[in-house]
Amino acid sequence: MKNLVITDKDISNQLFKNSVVVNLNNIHYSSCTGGLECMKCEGACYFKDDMSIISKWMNDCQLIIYVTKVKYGCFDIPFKRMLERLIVNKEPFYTMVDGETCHLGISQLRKKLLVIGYGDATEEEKKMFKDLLDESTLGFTYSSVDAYFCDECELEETLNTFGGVDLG
Amino acid sequence: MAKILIINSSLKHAQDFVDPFVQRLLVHLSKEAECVDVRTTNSFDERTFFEYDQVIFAFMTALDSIPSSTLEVFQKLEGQPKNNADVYALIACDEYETEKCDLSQKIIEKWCEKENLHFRGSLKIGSVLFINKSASKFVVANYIKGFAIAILKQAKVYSRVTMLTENIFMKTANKYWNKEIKKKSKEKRQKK
Repeated sequence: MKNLVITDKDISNQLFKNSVVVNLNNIHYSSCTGGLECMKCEGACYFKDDMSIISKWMNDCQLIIYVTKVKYGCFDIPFKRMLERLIVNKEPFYTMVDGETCHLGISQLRKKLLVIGYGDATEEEKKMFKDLLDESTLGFTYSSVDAYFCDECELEETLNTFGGVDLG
Repeated sequence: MAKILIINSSLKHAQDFVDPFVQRLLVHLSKEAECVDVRTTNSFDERTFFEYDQVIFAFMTALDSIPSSTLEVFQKLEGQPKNNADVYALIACDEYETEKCDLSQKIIEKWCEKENLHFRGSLKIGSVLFINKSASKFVVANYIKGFAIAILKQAKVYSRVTMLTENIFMKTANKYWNKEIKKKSKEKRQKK
C-alpha cells in the first residue's frame, strides 16, 4: 500500500515517489454536513465522491503527509473541509483515552503523520496548530505526529528536504 | 439598546444540535435588546455585519476545532466594514470535556485580533448531543441566562457547562449510539 500525501497547493509528484499525491484543488468532495448519520451506519457516508477512496486509504497506509496552509492557528478551509469528512473513520462510541472522552479510530494500523504547514503563522499560531494536531489525533493509532512550518515562499525548498521521506 | 446578531455557523446539519441553545439565548436577549437577528451560514449577509453592536457565533466543533463553515464566515468578513463589534461565542462539543472547545475559542480570538474586533468571551457546552435529554438541561438553562445577561451588559464572560458526571455521560452517550445504530439498521432492513 502506497503512502498518502494530501496537499492544498500544487507540488511536484517527483518529491514523494512512494506515495500517491492528492491535490485538494484537483478532486471533487462535498462538505461534511455534520449530521453524524455516518456514525449510525457503520461509517457509510451519504456522499459518494473522491473522499470515499481517500478516507479508506487513510486507514490502510502507514505514512500520511499533509501539506497545508496554516491560518489563525488552524487548517485552511479546503483542508479543514477534507478533514471533517474523515469522521467516517471514527467509532460512534465514546472511550476514555488519557482521562479524556473521545471516539476511537476504526483502523488499528499504526501510522505516522507528518504535517508541513506553510503561511505567515506566528509562534502562538504554530503552538495552537500543534495543539490541534494532538487533539485531533487522540484515539487514533499514530506512532508519531510531527509538524514543521515554513513561509509560503520557502515551501518548495522545505518539501525538497522532506522528499524521499516516504521511501522509509 | 443594542443590535445583536447570532450566527449559527455550525456545519449544515449540526446547526440542529445547537439550535435549541440559540433559541433559548434569543428569548433572553430579545427582552432587552433593540433587535436580535438570528442567521445561519446560508442566510447571513456579511455586508450587514457593521450594523450590529454585538455578534455571537454559535457552533458545534468539528474534528476538535472550529468548523469549516465558521472559517468560511470569517473569510467572507475579511475586508468588510466592521463597527468594532463585541464578539461572543457559544461553542458546543459532543464530548464530555468542555476543554475540547478551547481551541475553537483561541481561533476566534485570533481572528478578532486580526480584524480589530473585541472578543468578550464564551459559553462552552459539553455533551451537546445528550445534555438536553438529562436533568442537566436545567443547569444549562441557567448558564445560558447568565451568558445573555453578560452580553446585554457588554461584559466579559467565560463559562462552561457539561453533564453532571462523567459516568452519567458515558452511560447516556453510549446508550444513545446503540439505540441510533439499531434504529438505522432496522430502517435499512425494512427498505430491503
